[in-house]
Amino acid sequence: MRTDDLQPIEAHIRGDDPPPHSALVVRGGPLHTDNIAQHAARQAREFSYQSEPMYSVSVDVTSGAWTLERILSERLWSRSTFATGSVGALRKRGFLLLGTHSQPHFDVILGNGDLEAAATLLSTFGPDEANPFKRRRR
Amino acid sequence: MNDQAAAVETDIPCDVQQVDDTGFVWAFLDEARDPARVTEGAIVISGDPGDPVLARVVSLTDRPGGTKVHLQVLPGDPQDYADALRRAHLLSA
Repeated sequence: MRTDDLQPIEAHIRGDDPPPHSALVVRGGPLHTDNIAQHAARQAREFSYQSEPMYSVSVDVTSGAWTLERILSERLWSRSTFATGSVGALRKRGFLLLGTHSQPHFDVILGNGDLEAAATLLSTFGPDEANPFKRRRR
Repeated sequence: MNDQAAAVETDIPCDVQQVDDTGFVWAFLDEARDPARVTEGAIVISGDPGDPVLARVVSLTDRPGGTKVHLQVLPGDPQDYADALRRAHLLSA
């Protein structure tokens, strides 16, 4: 497959830029490096960024009406656990955060998408927390 | 992960946060355990073994990277559906 065949993500980037200190980056579980790398590899089969396959992980970012509670209850209700990090912390570790598709969705660019990159990304998040909005019966 | 969760096998895994402009989550057909079951309108188990979800297959689209499957995640826990089916005697066990 040629990179030219991938969808350039540039056409799907929004203009909003979350404040580095107040906005929370939210990722639902399971928060394992292999899952993160698997999702990044899937993204790279469909999208490109700057003419290269885009290894990235989907996250939600709090902003305006998209509070943490709303993200957990409306978008992550199926997740038992979640973790949060700050936009500033991600950027400090060198990760690029792109607002893509519709709010509150963002892509975190994950370099070559390998397990090491996934582990570095996960290290910027706090500990796993139980999702109080999980609709769980099992 | 408990024993029950360890035994769960999804029909097609997905990342429930990985959406595109359609607003639906998506995966590639070649990730499915049995791709023949993943047809438009089919109800499948997706998500991951720890937190499975029920989903309806919205569409299958040929893309350069493979066949892209859009999924509509259905509300509620899969167990809720199983309980309702049992109450109606549509599921025996």
